[in-house]
Amino acid sequence: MQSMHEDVLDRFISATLKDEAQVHPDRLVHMEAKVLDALKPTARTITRPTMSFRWGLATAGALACLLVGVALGVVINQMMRKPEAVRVAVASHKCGPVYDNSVSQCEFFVFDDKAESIQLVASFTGWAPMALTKTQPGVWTGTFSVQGSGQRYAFLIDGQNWQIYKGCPKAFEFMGRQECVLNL
Amino acid sequence: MVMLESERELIEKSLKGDIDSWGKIVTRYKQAVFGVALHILGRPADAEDATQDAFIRAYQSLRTFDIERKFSTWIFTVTANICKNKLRRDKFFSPLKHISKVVGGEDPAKTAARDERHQLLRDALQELDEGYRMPLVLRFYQDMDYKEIAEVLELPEGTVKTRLHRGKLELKKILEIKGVKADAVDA
Repeated sequence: MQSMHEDVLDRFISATLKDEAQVHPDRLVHMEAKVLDALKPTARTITRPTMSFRWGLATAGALACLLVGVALGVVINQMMRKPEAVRVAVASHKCGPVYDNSVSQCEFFVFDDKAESIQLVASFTGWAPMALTKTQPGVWTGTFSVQGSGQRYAFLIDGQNWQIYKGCPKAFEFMGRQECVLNL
Repeated sequence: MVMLESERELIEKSLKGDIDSWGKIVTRYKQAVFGVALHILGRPADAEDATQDAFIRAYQSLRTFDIERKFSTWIFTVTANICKNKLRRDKFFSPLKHISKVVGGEDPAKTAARDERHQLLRDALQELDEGYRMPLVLRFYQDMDYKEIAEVLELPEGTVKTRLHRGKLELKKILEIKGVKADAVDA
């Protein structure tokens, strides 16, 4: 058997493929009608989606502008608003040396310029509210004996608001209330 | 040039919903699209369905067509994808291979009639992997260059070259097994 040369093969493939595709004219006679029939419902809607797409785009654009405007307004309003006196709310403590029976004297400081009264509520007081003294405007202090490390505490602001302050060490939550942990 | 402008015009009108313009596009390309589908799928009835499907899908996604690109490349891409999907579906649902009617070793001198020659090549093409068949069809039926084939099949140009080369070798082997001789095919 004689092997085919490449150009002979190329010519054979090309000629046969082109020739064969012409052999089925009957398959294509009604092609336009078939395609257009299938497209008629689509053709009507293809223009509509174009319009609704544009309207949709315009509406979305308008909504986006509106949202951006509102957001900007809120931000500007916040920026322009006369700042309320910022509530200074920081607490700290200072404990003295621990004696043999693990008792130490701890002085608590709270800086809160809004509070009318501040009380300490702590495990080392049996959670009984102990009033802090206002020594300067916004500065509250109180000294208490604390036995053992790991005692927990918080503050009662104006007799009702249970609160911990920034600066209080390692807060944790118990029965929905946050408490600070005091390490001696 | 005038032809291209007119084609552009027809596409622009089609985009505005004028389906008669799309009908003219169908007239212009139906033979070429049918030929590509026929040689890829192997059965005229399947090729007819694929042609119809290609023009319907092309119209539905006409908005995605870049008018600056060559329309023929795009419509052949749509066609090739439809054919690929059809072949995959067929492979999944009917794993039995297309059975060749040509008996190996038959003397081609006696089967020189056109139909038999078509059948011979059609069968040989169907025995090829679709990855080889598609580039061969676009190359030899549509006279496309490597770049255009790469664009239609969404493949790198290097892959197209390799597939064409290997595809031709495979096809040659199959044809020789079927008893096709150089003097017979060169007629």
